[in-house]
Amino acid sequence: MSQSNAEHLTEQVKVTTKLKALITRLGADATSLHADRQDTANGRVSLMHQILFEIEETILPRQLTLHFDQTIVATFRVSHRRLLSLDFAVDADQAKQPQRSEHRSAAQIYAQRLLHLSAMHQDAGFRITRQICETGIETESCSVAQLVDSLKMQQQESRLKGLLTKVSANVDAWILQAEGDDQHSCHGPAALTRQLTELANIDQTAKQKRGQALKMPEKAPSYLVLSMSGETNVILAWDRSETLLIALPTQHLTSFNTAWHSFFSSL
Amino acid sequence: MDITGRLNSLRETTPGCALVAFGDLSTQLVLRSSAAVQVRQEFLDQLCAQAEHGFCLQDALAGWNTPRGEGSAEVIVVTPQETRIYIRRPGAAQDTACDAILCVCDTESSARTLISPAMTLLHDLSEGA
Repeated sequence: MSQSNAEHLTEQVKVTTKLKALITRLGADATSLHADRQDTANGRVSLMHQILFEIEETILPRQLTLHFDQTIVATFRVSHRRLLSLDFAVDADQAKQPQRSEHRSAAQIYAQRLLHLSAMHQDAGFRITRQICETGIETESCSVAQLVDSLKMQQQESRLKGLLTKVSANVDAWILQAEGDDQHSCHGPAALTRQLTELANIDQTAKQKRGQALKMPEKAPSYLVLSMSGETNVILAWDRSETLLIALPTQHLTSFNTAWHSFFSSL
Repeated sequence: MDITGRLNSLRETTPGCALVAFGDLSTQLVLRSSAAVQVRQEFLDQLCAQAEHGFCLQDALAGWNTPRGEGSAEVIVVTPQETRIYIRRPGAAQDTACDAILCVCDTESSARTLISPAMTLLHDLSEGA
């Protein structure tokens, strides 16, 4: 069998399998459909997975609208299994969303916007509605495969390391630790980094003991401000599986806050 | 005014404040709350767990760095969408030492304006006012 025939057959099998799954789903009773919706509301269905699935399933031009509970948060235009546009619904968020630049592909920009949406989505249930739409002259579209590649690349990068490069000039000491990793990188006076390491260990131990109760917000980055003395604060910043601990003079707290918001809202 | 009324008043008079709750850190239970929109009990429970965890870290840090090991009155948690501030009275008597006010605001500056009135509220509650 030639390679093109084999590819064609594989494609046909994929389509048949999808059709069978759809027919089975339509034939199922209403309780299982309700359970699907319940799973979505309970956050068991991954938002990212669902969005990628919707793009992959869309041939004719459609506008997809993403809702968190009752609020519209983003609209996507999709056609021929390609993402044509992704815009946040709230005006304020438009300013935060990553903009097109000379050096970045459409897939990279949309992947960043998807990650931002994923970070925004916390406890709320989500749903996606579809409407017929028209397409214009699209020059910045990308496929699901391109999106997945960009998402993988961006998720592999350590964002806290990126943040650290922006704030390191103003800090006294820092340590960067990955969950379940005994090794960590650090900088600063030994006494201070030792305290930060002990604090990181207390944090990790508590999280292992208490599990989900302390993983809040689960997906979004966050940071905690503690007081070391009248002049020094300690920051514990979490993102994905990493923790960054920083000791910094109190006078630089405001600039850290500004840098953190600017860094994470630009992703 | 009862405790719910005091929490309502605290929230309504602080611009940018979406939620004020009174909780017990030892049991990690929110006993009363006032919110601009209804929130799930799980969210309140998680706020209390996060507050307890924050003060646990704060106390460890204070134990290494202050002569009497007395921790700070507040812990702040910042997320992309909101700023949470947890407030307690470090010098409180043993039976009220675990009382805390838990607040969710839009900015850190808004959250910090709650420290003083929340301390007063905790003091009044400990006095049975």
